Amino acid sequence: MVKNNSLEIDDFEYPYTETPDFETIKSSFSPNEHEIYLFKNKYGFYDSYIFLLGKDNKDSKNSFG
Amino acid sequence: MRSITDLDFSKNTNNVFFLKLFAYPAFCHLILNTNGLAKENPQSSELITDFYDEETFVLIVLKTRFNDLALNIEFMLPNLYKLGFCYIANNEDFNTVEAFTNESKVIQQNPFSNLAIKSISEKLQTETYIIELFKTLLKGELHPVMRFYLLYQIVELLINKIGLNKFSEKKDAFIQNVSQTNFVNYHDILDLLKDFTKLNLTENTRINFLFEQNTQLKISQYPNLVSSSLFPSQYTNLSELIYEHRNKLVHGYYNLQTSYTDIEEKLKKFNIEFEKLMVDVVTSYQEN
Repeated sequence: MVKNNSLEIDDFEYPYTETPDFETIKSSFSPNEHEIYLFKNKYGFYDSYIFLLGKDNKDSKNSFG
Repeated sequence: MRSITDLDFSKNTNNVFFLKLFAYPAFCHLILNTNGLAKENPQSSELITDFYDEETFVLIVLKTRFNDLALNIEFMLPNLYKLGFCYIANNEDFNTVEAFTNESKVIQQNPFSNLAIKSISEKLQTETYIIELFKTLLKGELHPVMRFYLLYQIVELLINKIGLNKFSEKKDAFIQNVSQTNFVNYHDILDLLKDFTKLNLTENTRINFLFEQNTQLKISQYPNLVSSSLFPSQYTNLSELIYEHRNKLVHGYYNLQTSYTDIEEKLKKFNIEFEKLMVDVVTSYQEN
């Protein structure tokens, strides 16, 4: 659900009931479902982040981007 | 946004949600080379890090979740750049990105940290220079004075907009005054004209407008910028700091090179903080 420029995930239903293996995912994979962008970090550290899309921190609670 | 090294599934099976929603699709995209950025055709026995740099990060956007959301990744590139993430547009970019190995981490380590990506101001989304700056121009190795010039073009661009907007406001008020006044005395017209010609905004004044009104950024928010400034002045606001650096670097860099033996190194450190300020400027810019 998109709300206030944020992405809510609580109503999200994923088609798999358990973690599928790679071949299963690959066979049903559609490039149209996702967009992918690559970045290189100039600071060179390897942490990973889940980015939230929202106008401010209040908007991004329980949202996921 | 995940490090390419996180796509080693054997290490992530405890995070099922991440695997389902992002890691598998990311791996599929990369392995199938849907964006044309793989360095070479992978073999089944190879690891993903065999053909992508370990510093590579993957941003996956689930398009079905963005049907109603006007997501334009280009508008978010400045904010991502501030966090260190340089956009990879082609294979050459893997080698182009300039790394600051001595830079302290800008964000505390946490594998599930959440960050909010801010878009640039709606008022600036048609300014192609700003997009190109963070998408292309800044990510390579540059002489520090060249990096400063490129960044300062943001200030030039915005204070030009501010000047045009002030002129437009004054012009509208002038036309309204003229149209609503029944002039019986020529001096009344002269007074109006004199008032109109008072609109002589210097560069310094417009820079002051930029920080005091249009962005409302305060110097207290940027202690590292102040501590890395090239000159010993005591600045009370951002416009003073930026204006002095602009004057001395644009008009007298040749002289600074002889006055300061380590000017390049100092300017390199200053630019790291100046970049962050310029990102905040383009994300917080508003017009009255």
